[in-house]
Amino acid sequence: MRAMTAAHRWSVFSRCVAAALGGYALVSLTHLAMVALLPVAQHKALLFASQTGYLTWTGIIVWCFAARTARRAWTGLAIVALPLLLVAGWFLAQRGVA
Amino acid sequence: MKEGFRQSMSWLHTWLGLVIGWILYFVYLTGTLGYVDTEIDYWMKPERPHFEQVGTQREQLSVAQAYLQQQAPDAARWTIQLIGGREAPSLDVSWTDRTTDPRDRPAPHRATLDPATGEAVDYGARDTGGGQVLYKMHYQLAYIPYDKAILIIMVCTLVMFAAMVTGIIVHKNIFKDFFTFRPRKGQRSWLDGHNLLSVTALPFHLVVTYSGFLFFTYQFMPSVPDLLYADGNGRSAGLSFYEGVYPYPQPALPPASGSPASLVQLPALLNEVDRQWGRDIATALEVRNPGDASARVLVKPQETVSIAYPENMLVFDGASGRLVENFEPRHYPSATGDHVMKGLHKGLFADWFLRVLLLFMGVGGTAMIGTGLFLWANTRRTRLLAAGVQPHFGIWLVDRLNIGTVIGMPVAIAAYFWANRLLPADLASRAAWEVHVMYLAMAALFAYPMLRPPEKARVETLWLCAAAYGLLPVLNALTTSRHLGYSLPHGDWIMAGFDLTALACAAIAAICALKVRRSAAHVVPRRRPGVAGVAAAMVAVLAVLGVPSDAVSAEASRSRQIDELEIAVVRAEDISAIKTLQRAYGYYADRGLWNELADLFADDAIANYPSGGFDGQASIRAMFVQNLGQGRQGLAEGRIYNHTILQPVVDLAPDGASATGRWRVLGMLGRFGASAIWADSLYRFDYVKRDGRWKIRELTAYAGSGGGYDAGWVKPAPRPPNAAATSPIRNNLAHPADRPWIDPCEADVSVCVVPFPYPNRGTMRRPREVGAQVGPRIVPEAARAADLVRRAQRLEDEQAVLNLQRSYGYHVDRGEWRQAAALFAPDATREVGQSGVYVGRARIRRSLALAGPEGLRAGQLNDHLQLEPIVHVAPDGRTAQARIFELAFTGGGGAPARLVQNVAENSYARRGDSWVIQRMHVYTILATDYAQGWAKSALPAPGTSATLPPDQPPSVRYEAYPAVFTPPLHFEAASVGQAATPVVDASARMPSSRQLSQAVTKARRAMDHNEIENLQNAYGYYAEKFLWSEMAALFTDEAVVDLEGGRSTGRSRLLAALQARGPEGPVPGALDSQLQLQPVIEVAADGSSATLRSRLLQLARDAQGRPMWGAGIHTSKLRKQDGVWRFERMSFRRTYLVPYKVGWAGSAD
Repeated sequence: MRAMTAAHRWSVFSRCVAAALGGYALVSLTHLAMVALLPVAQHKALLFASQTGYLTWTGIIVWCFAARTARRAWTGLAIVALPLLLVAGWFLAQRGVA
Repeated sequence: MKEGFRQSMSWLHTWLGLVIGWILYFVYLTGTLGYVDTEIDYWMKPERPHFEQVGTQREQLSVAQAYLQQQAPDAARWTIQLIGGREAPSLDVSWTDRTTDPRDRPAPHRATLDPATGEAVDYGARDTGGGQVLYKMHYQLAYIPYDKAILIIMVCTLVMFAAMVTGIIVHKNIFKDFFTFRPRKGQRSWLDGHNLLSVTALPFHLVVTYSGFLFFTYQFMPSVPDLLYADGNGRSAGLSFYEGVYPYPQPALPPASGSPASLVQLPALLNEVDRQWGRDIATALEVRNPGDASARVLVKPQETVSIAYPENMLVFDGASGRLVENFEPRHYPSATGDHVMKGLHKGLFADWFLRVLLLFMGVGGTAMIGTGLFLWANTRRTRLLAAGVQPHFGIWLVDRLNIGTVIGMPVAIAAYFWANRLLPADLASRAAWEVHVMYLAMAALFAYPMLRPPEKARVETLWLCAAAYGLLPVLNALTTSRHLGYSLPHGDWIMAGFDLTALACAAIAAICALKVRRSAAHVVPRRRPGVAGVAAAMVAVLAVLGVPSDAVSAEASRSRQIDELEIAVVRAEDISAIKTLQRAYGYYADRGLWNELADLFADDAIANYPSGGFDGQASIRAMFVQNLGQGRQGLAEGRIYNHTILQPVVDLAPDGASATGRWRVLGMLGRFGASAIWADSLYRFDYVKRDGRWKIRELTAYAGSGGGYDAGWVKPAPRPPNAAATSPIRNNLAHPADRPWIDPCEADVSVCVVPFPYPNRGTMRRPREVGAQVGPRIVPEAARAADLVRRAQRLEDEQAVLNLQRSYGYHVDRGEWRQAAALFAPDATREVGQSGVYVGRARIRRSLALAGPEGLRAGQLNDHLQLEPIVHVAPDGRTAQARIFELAFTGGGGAPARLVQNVAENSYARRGDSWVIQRMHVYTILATDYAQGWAKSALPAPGTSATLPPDQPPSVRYEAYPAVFTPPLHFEAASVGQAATPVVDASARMPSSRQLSQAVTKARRAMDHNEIENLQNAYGYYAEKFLWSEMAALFTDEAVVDLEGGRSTGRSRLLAALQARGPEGPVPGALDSQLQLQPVIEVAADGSSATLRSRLLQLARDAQGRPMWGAGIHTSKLRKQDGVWRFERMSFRRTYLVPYKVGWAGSAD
């Protein structure tokens, strides 16, 4: 049986956090980005985004546990989050919400 | 995570499945019941009358209109539910009073009408939650605030979906799984069942799970909608979000005009309805403002008309009866998608056939989760038991929670139905108490397995389940008049259907209970495609209530388990006996013990030696005694005839009656003052087990490399072509050969690949089933089992002693005196040559340190190769003895190089779970100055040290080479190759099932040790002939290999790196004998991985043809994949590579 080292536990914990909280944040960002970018009315874009968001989230979960290390998992999320953050920030600034 | 994408996904699938498995099982179970919610409602309100004569829709409408006209002519709205679809089994009407304040929402009045008489039937239904409360538990759970429950369910849905996606990823053979079910194969059947249930309804599972998200997507992820729909005052924007995102359009309806007008005869509207939709599609009518001039009649279709648009309706003017609007709301695409997905989830569109199918798929999904839960526990328990580890608390708990869930939850639902019939009609909060009873039952069913052994709890709860469902129809008959005796003859199909389904559930539970009790034991798995339908039905039946067919009562399967243990033990003992036989061959040959040597051969043995073929034991014996011993037993003074037997690859035939072996023989031959010869050659042995004793059936020696001591293994002079083939029988021998033996390697050793008696071990197919040649059966059974358990322990002890002795050698190599001494018992003794006896760890450590400082001097070599071990563990398992051939390469760092041959006779003692060296007696056979060799130099055995006088004088006085001294052997010649002697203890108690399976594990691990040694040795055999493809095949796909050329990641890159070294296959004139020696093998507790340290000794020639000595260490990690061990990691650390002429002492730098 694989040795249950503290490092292993921390890695699993970190991945779980990445998959759950990171997933929530990233999926929310994709919602915003889709609303910002899809050429349809806001409610249509939002519904479409929320319908497909769980596929994204599932992908994030798979990624978080497939990545070789927990750090890589987080890095991957951050890399994807960066452009989404820019789009979301631009969008919210335009709307005057943020 | 773990190595490889698929492994990480497998890990994720397993753990995701477990953490939410119990809740999901509940969700799937109660959600599935949602497909029959109104049917359950009907059963749970038995007072509701059954009308045999329902009439046509027109008649029903006429009756309903008359009733409502009389009861509520001024109502704000009427609703009429027609009999026909599953929405209403009776003619139900309701009306809502008109109010002045539009915000008032008065509760509707309800009535059920007798369609024949038009009278309201006041049946006074009991207070019950019915099927509605039951199915809503699949997203509301119970006793938890709604919003919290939704969050839990959404998280579970997400995990469920991820578990399904990862499950698909880990699947290599989705199509094959459609047709694969192997019943009665224990664990394998469960996995098959799990796969079959998953893949056959995969689209259903995916859709049901994914659509589950869409119901509560706002509750789960409100932040973005709140951000976008906030009105600027920080108010939560839920409402406007819903208005924006989920527009549920309604037909435009005019307000009441205030002027009365009589309502059209409703049946007349059905002409137009039938024209629009077809007959009997309408199911409900709603009349707004009946009796008003602006009355509207809304006609709704049955829900089966469309998945996405059940809200279609026809709007009639209530006064004129004219069709005002065919209302067919159209949505934008993603809203349509939303409707379709939710419609698919609810399954309201399904007619009875599709509904039954949905019910089956829901049950299948429930069973998928149930089987997954059992798999989790079974796999881990098996793995732990296989590793000899007591299952930990987690498994204990999961086992019990699984029973509480998989069997307990259906029982709890039965309790809900029982409560419906048994709770007093006037009980306050009666409907709530139905739910309380359900959860009390569930709690009890969770508690019960905690108090009982799981195998008992399983059977008992299954019988309880069978009783709970089987007696439901009886209960129904006792408490109502709507039992099967009424419902069947009167066509009350819903009531009858419920009772019959309950009986079917009871039957399934009973079958499972019986199966669990009987059930099959572990059988060697075999892949056999079955008929998908039959398999699916079987699995569905089995798994509805989830019964692990391998979790059987110990009693029933014990006998088979003991047989299995016997096979495993005897096979592992056979391997050990064969190796002992072969190594005894070496020790006997070394000392010229010709009779003992000949006794190792079967009567009809065949021996193919370089001097020719000898047939039969008698001829072989004559050859030994006359040709080799010149007529006498034992070696003549001054002779050296070492045949050190090394590098075994031993394979036992599937039936255990015969075996093959490839061995290397390192010969150090000669006569003092006359000659010294190195000889390195390969042998093939065939063994046979006769009357419980292993013998050599056939021996074939192949020409090897070697040469005179002074020059070493120089390239031999080329032979004339076909020299070997034409060489006559050597008639000049005292005992001539019986026939010529034409050695295929004699012509040119360097290009000869000695045939392998085994296929490549990385790609070979394992036999499906194995047997063993077992001894006479011991009675009673308990004594037989106890004896096997003891013998399995001895097998493990033997491996432990081997590792101990070999580790000692590795420590001595590096001058790790402290660690080497730590392997001894506190009161141990050690004696080398004539130096006397040192007693106790501290003294032993100091005596070891006579060879050099801790960690050795710079440039000093102290390699002590631990070879040819013959280990015997005492029957009581408390002590052991071993004979070791120790070949020492010492000197350097200022001291002259020495080559020493020792034979050690050691004894060992068990300390708790581990072993220590109790007594080490190293006899020096030969010691020589490397520069001169054993023809010229014969050093005496080490004498007593002046600096560290021994505690006791030498226990045996003898002289080393050139004298011939045979250190006493700890075993009898007659016992060599003999099967283990059983110890019959008639009073022995039957070992527990756990002890038996642990014993099987021990025996199998002994086989794993053998196979890992085989693998490493085979690696050496391939490497020395540059067989790159064969080498690479011994590695896993992702293996990481650090060889001298650098690191290779992955088998294909390894192969490329090897091929870059040169063409594949033997190279004329090249020599690179790779002796793989002294393996230390640790098989991990789960039996699927192992570590290995193996010593390499190379007899090579460099590019200029100069003989070279090489040495190094391979350290490896291995993994067992589908029963095949392969290297997962390997790294090689070189100790030295020096010209033979220079030797290791000259290489100090």
